[in-house]
Amino acid sequence: MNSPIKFNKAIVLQVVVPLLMSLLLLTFNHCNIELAKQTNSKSRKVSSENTQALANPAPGVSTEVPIVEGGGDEPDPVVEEIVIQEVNVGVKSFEELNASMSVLTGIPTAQVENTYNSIVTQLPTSNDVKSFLGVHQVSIMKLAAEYCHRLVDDATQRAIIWPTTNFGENAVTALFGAKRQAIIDNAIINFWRADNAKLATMTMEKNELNAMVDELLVGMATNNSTTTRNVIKGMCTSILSSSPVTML
Amino acid sequence: MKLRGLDKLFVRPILSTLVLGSFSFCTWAGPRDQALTIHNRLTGVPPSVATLNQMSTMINSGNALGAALLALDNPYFYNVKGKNWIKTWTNETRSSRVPLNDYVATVLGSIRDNVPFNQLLTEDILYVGGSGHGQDVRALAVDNNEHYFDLERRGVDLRQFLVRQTQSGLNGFPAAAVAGVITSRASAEAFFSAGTNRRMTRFLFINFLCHDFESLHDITIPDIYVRRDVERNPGGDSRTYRNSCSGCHAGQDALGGAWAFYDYRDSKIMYNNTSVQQKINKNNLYPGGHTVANDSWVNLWTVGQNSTLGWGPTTSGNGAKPFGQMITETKAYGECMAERSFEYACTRGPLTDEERDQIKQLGDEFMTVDNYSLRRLLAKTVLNCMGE
Repeated sequence: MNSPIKFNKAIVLQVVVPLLMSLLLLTFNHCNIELAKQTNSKSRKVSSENTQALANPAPGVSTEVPIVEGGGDEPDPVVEEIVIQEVNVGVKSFEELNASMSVLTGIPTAQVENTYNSIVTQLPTSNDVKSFLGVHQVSIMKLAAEYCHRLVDDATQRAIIWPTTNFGENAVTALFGAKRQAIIDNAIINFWRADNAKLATMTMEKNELNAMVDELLVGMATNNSTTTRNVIKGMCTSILSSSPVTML
Repeated sequence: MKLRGLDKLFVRPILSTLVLGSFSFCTWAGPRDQALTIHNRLTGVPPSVATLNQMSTMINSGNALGAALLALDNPYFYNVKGKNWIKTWTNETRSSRVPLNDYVATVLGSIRDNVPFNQLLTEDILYVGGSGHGQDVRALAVDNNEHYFDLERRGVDLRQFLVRQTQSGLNGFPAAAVAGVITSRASAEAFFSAGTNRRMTRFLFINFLCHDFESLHDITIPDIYVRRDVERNPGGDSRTYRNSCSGCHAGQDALGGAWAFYDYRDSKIMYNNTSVQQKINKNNLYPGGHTVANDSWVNLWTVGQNSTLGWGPTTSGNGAKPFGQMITETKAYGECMAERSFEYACTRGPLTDEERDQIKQLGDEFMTVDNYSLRRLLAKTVLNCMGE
């Protein structure tokens, strides 16, 4: 009677212990598999970042970066885009923006002092583009709108930016055809410091500004010069607060 | 839904700005665009058309360094970007939204006049607003910042109207007690006010060696100079002191004697060359601790892990002047100035090993070839990120 019981215990031990050991090993193997997957995934991402960092190298830096083997997933395109911006650009800070707009429009900073002081805390503090927020862009727009308002109302300064434009002309004449194109071209040349060769390549930019002028004119009376000046102020604001002016 | 009136005039340009911004900037290239980038990054503003053409021509003919130096002649470097950069060195929060002060003016004047930057922490030097600018600026005083506040508020051209003087001539200190911007009023207000003057050591290391105390933490050096105000058993556990506190205090308290005679009270910097300021030895938590008896100091971080900072011959002394000399002799000083310049000109820190090597090289040239000219360092650095 005792012998079968002892035999059964031995059987149980011989079966259960290896089973438990297998489970234990499997558990560890499972962890290692997961860890390996995570490590590979991270390596790919790091590799992707490094690749993007070197896509815009300093002089003498090779753009060829060896890709880490072993990862199966494709790099995340969103991550790449963020890294490119981080590497390439900075954003002007509060006083740099104010000074830049003053330099470009010829309007002294003293003339926009009240507006500037009311929004200065909402303008970027550092040049780090990673800290750039939506509220910064809105404040930049406000500042640009103030400078453009002053500029278009200043007969001397506006003649420097738009020497061929008649600001007393009705919108139906001043804001169409070659005259509109001259307004756009002169704004790009003066605010973005583009030369004629560069201007010729800016088809997309000019199309966008043309579309904006069209939209601004919808529902507006075109038989007076107030519309002419207001629409030019809007277009000026758009160009003056865009990245070629606001970014480093 | 159609937009009407001013709403339309405002909202539509916002959308257009976003579209324009998305495809305008990154496509530019060539000498003209490089010139534009250099000027924007050094001065914060775009150049005039004439300057842009001049810089483009210089870059085209292989003289990009000359173009960068030309950009640094622009008044906006002094009145805007450079000014706001230096401001972050002058307060604890490292903010650029503070008024112009004597520290910033002295650094800007030194850059303009190419004063070797090692003198910035040792010499009897002070830049003030000169005459002839036609603005209503209050007079210089030892106990307020109104003079510099007005210079900035009135938009006085700092490049043109900063004039070099001496601190000793203003506050009557012996010349030996003056150590460049270390003993400026703004520096004293930020780093000597209240406390025990340890802030001065820490922020000199942060600003000019690019190392905070956490990165210098070393518990292997002797703690014989740790003062009495440092608890030896914080929370009832002496291991905390031994393994944590002493790592910073052993080194910094050995250096802290340099500031023993300085204080900031009544809105001005105070100096007493006969006795230690009372606050230095206050708070006796551990009577066996070190008592500061004079302004002598010694650098215990020259051995061990912190020897990698590359210390020069000056490793001990009395007072602020030799302390400043020790900082500027350190190899890390050149590298730190190069790193700061890189962040200034490239709007980011170095990303690649090649860029880090370039910074080391720039720092080395700053100290050995260019006679500590921060002006040349900035000009050289911006060439690394002016675009292809």
